[in-house]
Amino acid sequence: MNTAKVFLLGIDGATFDLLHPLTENGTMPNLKRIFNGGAWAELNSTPNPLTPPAWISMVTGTWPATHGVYDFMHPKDNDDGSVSLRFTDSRDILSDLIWEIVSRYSYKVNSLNFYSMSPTRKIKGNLISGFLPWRHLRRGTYPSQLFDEIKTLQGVDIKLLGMDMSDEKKTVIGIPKEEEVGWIEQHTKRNSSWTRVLQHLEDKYPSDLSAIVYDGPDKIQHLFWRFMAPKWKDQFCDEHSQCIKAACMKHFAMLDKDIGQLMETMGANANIIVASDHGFGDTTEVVYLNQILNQLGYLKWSSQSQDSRSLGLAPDRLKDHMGMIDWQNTYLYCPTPSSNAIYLTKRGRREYSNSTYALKMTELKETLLTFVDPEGGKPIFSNVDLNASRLDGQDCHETEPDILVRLRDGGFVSVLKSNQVVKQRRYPEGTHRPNGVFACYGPAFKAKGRLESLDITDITPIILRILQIPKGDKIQGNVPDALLNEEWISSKDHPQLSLSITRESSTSEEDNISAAEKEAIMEQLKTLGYME
Amino acid sequence: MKISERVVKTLNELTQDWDILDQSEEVFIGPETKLMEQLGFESIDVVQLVVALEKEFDKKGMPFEQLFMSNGVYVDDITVSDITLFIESQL
Repeated sequence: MNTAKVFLLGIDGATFDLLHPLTENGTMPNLKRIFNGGAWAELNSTPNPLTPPAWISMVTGTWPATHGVYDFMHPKDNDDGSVSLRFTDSRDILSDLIWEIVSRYSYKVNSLNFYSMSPTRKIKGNLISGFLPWRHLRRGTYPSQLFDEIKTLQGVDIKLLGMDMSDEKKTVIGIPKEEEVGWIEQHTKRNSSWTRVLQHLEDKYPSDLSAIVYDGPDKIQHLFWRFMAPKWKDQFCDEHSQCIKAACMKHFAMLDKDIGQLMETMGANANIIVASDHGFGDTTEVVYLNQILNQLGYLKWSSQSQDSRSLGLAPDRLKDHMGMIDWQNTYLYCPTPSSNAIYLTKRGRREYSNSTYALKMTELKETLLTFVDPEGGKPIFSNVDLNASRLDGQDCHETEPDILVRLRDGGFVSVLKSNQVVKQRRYPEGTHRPNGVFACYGPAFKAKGRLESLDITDITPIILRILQIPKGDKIQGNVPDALLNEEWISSKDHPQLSLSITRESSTSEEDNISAAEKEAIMEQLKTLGYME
Repeated sequence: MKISERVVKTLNELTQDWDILDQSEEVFIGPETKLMEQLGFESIDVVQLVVALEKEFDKKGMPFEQLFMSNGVYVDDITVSDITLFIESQL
């Protein structure tokens, strides 16, 4: 078969603010080849630019209100009015993944290190989920026997592929100074291990859609942003800072080497899409959102809750902080620091019933937008978004927040109790921004140079179009005009629809594509001339 | 298969790649086995156990906090039979 090949190269947290200087100064020559030889644009992330909603939007072509994923954890109301947090997993994703869609058309997939792919779904090809501790990686590997194959693969340390929880804690609570360089080097090795796995898969099981996420840049930027960001790096010049800068530069140089190796593996005619889940920028202060809700009378702390004594939220306290809230007397709360979201409690929903919901939420929006930092006297929130569907009285997923806030410094909130609503950070740190990275390179792309920004949901339809798969009604992204070389695409063989690939983890009812969906697919194929 | 056997099977599958199996003294998982003390469970392992059990028993959203918390505080450890009793109460 003479079919197109797509390589989706995901770089968690990649931002042009770093990548452009690194490609220009010779640190990342392979990425430069992609930028200069193809097209590039900013990629608009999800409203809360965070790994879970953003990567899931990218690989489903749908927005969070459709796929249902908003955060690493989601709140669940308990019978007694309190709230528990549950970790998000693939069962919470309500949309089809691109790996499933292309598998239905008999295309083969190799997908590595994408967020929340476990428990795995049935696809035609191979998948290893990201964000899993290595001890659970077998359960996040499809087919599961692939785990044994990878475990014995030369040059791959299976433990490096997993998410190390003690390592993750360090990104929140900080790393002892003497461990910092080693920590960066570990992430550099981790990227290379994933590269080795994908090379092996492509050698042994060549795919039509190959995809990988490198998550080292996000982690390193969170902790060491001030040593890399053009705005700050010259202010940190002591000997230790120079060592950190060198390790960070080496990380990006090695990442580029990995990219170069994979470009070679994929072949000269591969169509490469570079995409990040969000951009990156500074955060200089900590905003205590639950403390603000407490001051406004919407949240009551429980008697055992204590003031935050440090700026960091220690993971050990993450599990306990829900116990800091007096749920019987709380109407609104923020569940996690990454959510930047406000939810109604059970009591809140009772009090603010349908008739008063819109009024109360609008009132709170105004209050938050005019809420000022007591010291500086300036507004803290740059944006407050209400849930339009709920305002319209529509049914929403339980995971969907009532309010999303954006802080004036672009950072994430703290959920802890505090004696101040805003505290300055000791150093500027790295945090997410809505503008991520998109670049494309290969014969399927007609566009060159800088393009208008794309939405993160556009990635799935672009891939589908290159593979000549109908987009369907459920996908919300679009293929930008004049991006693709339609002549080249139509010169490739058409895909074969195979209805045997369905979700492994679903119930029997969900297990097969519905008759209506089959009919719709057939109809689309007929329209496109793929089927008679 | 009995619920208790399915819980043990799930735990055996979950822990099959753990370093614990490399130790000279192999741990046989039985009703009195303690997750933290004997199997070396950490909090993230509990999260994965919940997913594995929900999948095994085909029931998503079971209130596992009832099993892992007592009076609003996380319990120090649980046994296999604690899990079995909890699952039995939910099915």
